[in-house]
Order: sequence, then structure tokens, then C-alpha cells
Amino acid sequence: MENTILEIKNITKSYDEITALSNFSLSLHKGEVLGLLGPNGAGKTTLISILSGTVKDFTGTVSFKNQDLFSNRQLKNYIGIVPQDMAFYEDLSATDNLLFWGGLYEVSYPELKKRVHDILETVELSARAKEPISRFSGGMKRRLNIAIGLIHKPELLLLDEPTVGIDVQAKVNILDIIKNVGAAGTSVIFTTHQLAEVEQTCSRIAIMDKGVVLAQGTMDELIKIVGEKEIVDVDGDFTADRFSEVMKGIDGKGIEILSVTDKVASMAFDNTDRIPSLMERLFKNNIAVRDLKIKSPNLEAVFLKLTGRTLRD
Amino acid sequence: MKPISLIFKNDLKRRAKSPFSILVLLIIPFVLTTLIGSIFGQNDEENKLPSIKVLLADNDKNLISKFLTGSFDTSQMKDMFQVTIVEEPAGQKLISKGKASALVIIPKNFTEDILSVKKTQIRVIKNPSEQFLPNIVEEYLNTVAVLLSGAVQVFEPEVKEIKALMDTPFEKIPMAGASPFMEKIQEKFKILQKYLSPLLLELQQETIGKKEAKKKPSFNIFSAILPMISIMFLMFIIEVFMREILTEREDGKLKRIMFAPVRPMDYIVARIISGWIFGIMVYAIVVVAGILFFKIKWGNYFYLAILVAVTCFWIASLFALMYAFFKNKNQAGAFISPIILAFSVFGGSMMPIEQMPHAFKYIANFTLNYWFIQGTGHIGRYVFPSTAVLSMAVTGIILFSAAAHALNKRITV
Repeated sequence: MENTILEIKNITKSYDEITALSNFSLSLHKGEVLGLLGPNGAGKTTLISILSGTVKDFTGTVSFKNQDLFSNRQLKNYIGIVPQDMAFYEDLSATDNLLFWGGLYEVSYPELKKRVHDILETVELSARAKEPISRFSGGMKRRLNIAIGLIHKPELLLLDEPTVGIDVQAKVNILDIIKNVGAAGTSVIFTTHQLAEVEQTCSRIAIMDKGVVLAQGTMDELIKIVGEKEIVDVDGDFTADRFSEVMKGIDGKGIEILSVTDKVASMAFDNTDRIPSLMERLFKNNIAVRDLKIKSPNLEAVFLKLTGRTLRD
Repeated sequence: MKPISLIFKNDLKRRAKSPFSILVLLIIPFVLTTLIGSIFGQNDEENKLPSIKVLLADNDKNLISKFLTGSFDTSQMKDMFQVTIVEEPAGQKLISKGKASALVIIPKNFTEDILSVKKTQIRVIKNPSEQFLPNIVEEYLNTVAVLLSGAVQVFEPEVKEIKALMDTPFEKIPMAGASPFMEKIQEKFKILQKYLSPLLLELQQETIGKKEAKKKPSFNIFSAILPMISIMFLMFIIEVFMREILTEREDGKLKRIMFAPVRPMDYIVARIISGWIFGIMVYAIVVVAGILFFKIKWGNYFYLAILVAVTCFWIASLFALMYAFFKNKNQAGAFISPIILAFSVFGGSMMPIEQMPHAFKYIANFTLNYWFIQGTGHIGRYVFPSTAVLSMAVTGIILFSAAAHALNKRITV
């Protein structure tokens, strides 16, 4: 496809007994911001490491700009990577770091100096440009981490959980930066296990678990997987087994159990008129209900339907 | 070349911003060299023997005993002996208290006995608490005794005439008869003069150290100590640089460098070159500071530059190889210092190789310190240390290849 900038086909990667990616395939269009959503251990970081060339010994192919990504080292000049680790020299200033990291790419020194100035403006670090990074807050460090990934103006930006361990305000800043980068025409793959982040930022979402893509599409397309249903979360004093036993016979008759754990059950209802009959059944079986929430279909419900568990599990 | 120069410049920038650890490692060898050099160092003043205290009891107080007493007072002997004329009992007391190196007792009738060509003795009582100085007094008196005996034998008839004259009251001395006697003495002196002035056989005074001193600069103990100690600290300093391999691997910077179009080999070469060049720069400071503070004459500076370059390359390659295997900082910390110390102990950084047991000397051949110290020794004598340079260059290249291979495997999973 002409509009495709990245094409990942059938990648499989194992670490000893553990399969991190299994026959994984994904494509990304130019200017698209793709959210790669999955719990810890889903294989997101392995995928980023393969794309960045630091993990070898896998099967499958990756084509970038219609070329084999690993056959031409110069293609790396078009890819920016923001790792989970805040990997930079804390004893140097933001300017010195950007000059160093940008210098590793094919950018002339005068152009690089100009870009350092511009990118510091973009990530709102100009005022602290000469200070050692060791004095920066966590959010400022995360912003610099992104700036380093963008310094050489890549066509594809890969971000591996860029909002880990920072406060809400800093998270909002970073998500804004990612949105703006996408809006400027850079293709972005952004891994996270935060549903809200992908909902706010990404034009397309891929849900992955245990090394495979379970579903992908726009937000609306993914919600259709759950259907035109209402999501009901029940919080009560029950075990998963007891709840499942009580619900026998109801499941499939306008009510679909998405997930059940001890004390919490999530269900999809065709019609919320059926909620009173559910409550009656629970009371008859001596199950005390503390709370009941009715939600519109969302990514969490999609994820529950696809994996049978929440992202927090 | 771009990544190599970039990584090197970045390292320099970072060291310049926090130079404390390197400065400490650079200063310590100078402090140690100053301390050790001051303790064991010698100069010409210190090499001089102390003035030997001699007590002299002259029980004769006559012509030849006064000649003997006066011999201690010549310009040459004055520097060596500090003579105190004492009465014999006082001298005995002083020597028993250890107040002098020796007591020389000239017996009564010493002159009389010599002029009568009779055997006589000079007693020398040596201070038992001193081993060396009393022997010098003894040897000196032996020499005087030989000279006196020789002179008496040569001038035996004249001595006898002098003795007869001395025994004769002054008013009865036959002045007319004395004239031919004086002529005889004059003739003997004329004959002797041929041999005595100038002497047919001359003693050429020579001290090994002094003879060499004319050709070469005098021995400076610091020039031996500084290379010994500085090579140990050079290893520590380069290790600080090479430790970046592990730090960058642990905190994800190495992975990030690999995201860029940089080949693993570029990074490895950059790291080794960075440690290598920095080592050379540090040692240049050591050399200049050695000249300024300790007046060290290193010898041929071109040879020295080659030796230092090869040495730094060897050290950088060794630590690059080691850091390819260490999994974390704890593991590195447990091994690095003991390895450097072992190299230093066996290689002669802590004591001269010559003073080590034979087995240690054999092990020394496998240490960098040994070859470097040997090399600087040769260069100090303006000799190119070809064996040291060749040994280190060959093993350095082997280490470099091994390090490059191991690190290349480490960088990619």
C-alpha cells in the first residue's frame, strides 16, 4: 500500500521458553498515531526493541519506506525512538544532551543547533536548557526524553510507555506533544497500558496480549466488537466461582459476562431493563451487592471482551 | 569517525564538568612519589660520611709522634677526622662512654724507637658500638705505619745519624762533620725526587657513581618511583572511562546509541579510543608534572610517547574486554580493584622487581606494570624499549580483538 510507512509481518521472538511475540503483524500509515495497548508482558517493549535494531534473532520481516528495515542502516536516520528508560547524561545540560544525541544522526552541526533551540521550545524546556538534567523533575526528564527522539526530525516515532511514573499535569503535556507530532505528519507508534491515553491521543488502536494483536482499528471500530451494549460493573461480596454459578442460565440471554473476579463482575447488557431481574437473582442467592455502575461501551470493555481480564490484571 | 569523535568529545565534556575523581587519581601518585622519594631518596650531601671523631693520646710528644698527630690535620684528613688530643686516662674514659669512634694511643719513646729502628706499636681502641667508622681510623693508621716503616728503611743510615746528632749535646755537634751527612741526604732526595715528583705510579681516584655522573645526569630516585606508581593510577583512571561501557549498558544509553545509525563496532572503537586518548592526555600531565616537581629527565620523549600510547591502548582494551563480561557494577567492583592491585604488586608498582622473590619475578613478565616500568627505565637511558613496546602492542591487539568480539555480542541480544 502506497500510504504505508511501516509493515511488520509475522514476527516471532522468544526468550528461552517465553514467547514474547508470536506471528505478530501490524502496519502503520503515514501520519498515523497508533496506540499499542496491552498489559505488562504483552510484548510491546520487545516489538519496539526489534524495530530499533537492538534485539536480533527473531523471525519475520519489517519493511520501512518499502525497504527491509535491517538491511539499510541509514534508514535509522528516519526513525526516532523514545525508550522507557530515561537514557541520557544527567550530568550534562539539555542542550549538550540534544547536541550529542542529535549528532549521532545525519544532521549538520549548524542545522542541529537550530533544531536544539526549536525542540527545546516545543517541549517547553528552553528556560532550563543550560542546567544539568540531574536538577530536572520527572516530567521535565520525560519531555527531554521525547525531545531526544525527535531531534533528527524522524518520519516514524516509536514511544515505549512515555508517561510512566509522572504526575497528571506532566502526562497531559506529553500527550499533547505526541498529538502535535502526529498532527505535523510524523507517524507514531505509542505503547501504553493506560486506556485513557490511547483514547485521547491515537487515531488508531491495536490491542495486544501475549505477543499477538487481538484487534486493531479506530476507537469506533473497536467498540463495535462489544456491540451496542451497556456495560454493567457489579461490586459485591462474592467469589468468582459463586457468581458464575448463580449467573448460569442467564449468560447469553441478553447479558454477556465479560469478566468475573472475586468481588467484581463486568457484564454487557443488550438492554438495561434487565438489571432489576439480575439484582433479584443475586439477592435470592444471598449475594450482597455494594455498588453497581452502568457505563457506555469503552476500550476497557473491548479489552475485557478480548482478553477476559482487565489491563490491571 | 563521527560517532568516535562525538563520544570522545562527550566524555571529555562530562569529565570537565566533574573532574574530581580523575584529579584525585592524578594527584595521589605525586603525593606517594614525594613521600617515598623523601624517605628513601639520597643526595650528594647525604652520601658524605660523617666526620669521624678520633681521640689521640700522645704519650711521646716528640718529633715523629707530632708528625703523626699533624697528619690528621692535613686539608684532606680534616674533612674526614675530627681529632681531639687527650691524656690517655681521659681518652680511655671517653671511648668507654662511646664519645668517639676510636682512641689512638702513641706510646712513650715512640720517636726514640723509630729513630733507633726498633719495633714499636700504636694502639687503636675502637668504639664497639660503631662498626664502620673505627675501621677507617684503623686503616688510616695502618697506611701511616707502612709509610713510616718504609721511610725509616730507606733513610736508615741517615736516621741513625740523626739519632746520634739528637743524642749529642748541641754545643758538641760537629758542624763540619754534619755537612757531608747533609749532602748525602740531599743526594738521596734528588734520586727519590725522580720517582716522587711526578710519581711514577699514580693512583687514579675513581668512584663508579661519579664517573657515570660525568656522562649522564645524576640518579634521581623520583624518576624510578613515579613511573612505578603512576602506571598503577593510570590503570585506575582509564578504568573510570571504560566503566562507561557498563553504565551505559545498564541505564539504557547504549541501547539508545544503537537506535542511531551507529554500528556496534563504531561504539566499541569509540569507547576504547576515548579511554586510550584520555590515558595519553593524563600521562602527558604526569610527565610534565614530573619534570616540574621532581626534575625528572625522562630520556627520549619520542620513545616515551610510543610507550605511553601502547600502554594506554593495552589498558583500555583490557578493561573493554572485562566490561564485556561484567553483568553489573557490583560484579565489576569486586574484580577491578583486586586485578589492578595484583598487576601492581607483581608488576613492580609497589616494590622494585629486583627485591621480589624469584617466583614473583616470573609472574611480573605477565603484567603491564612490569613492561611499562622496564620501558621507562630504558627510555631514561635513551634506549628504545623494543621488547616492552612489542610485547604490549601484540597483547594489546589481541585484547582489543577479544573485547570487540565480546562487546559486539553483548550489545545485540
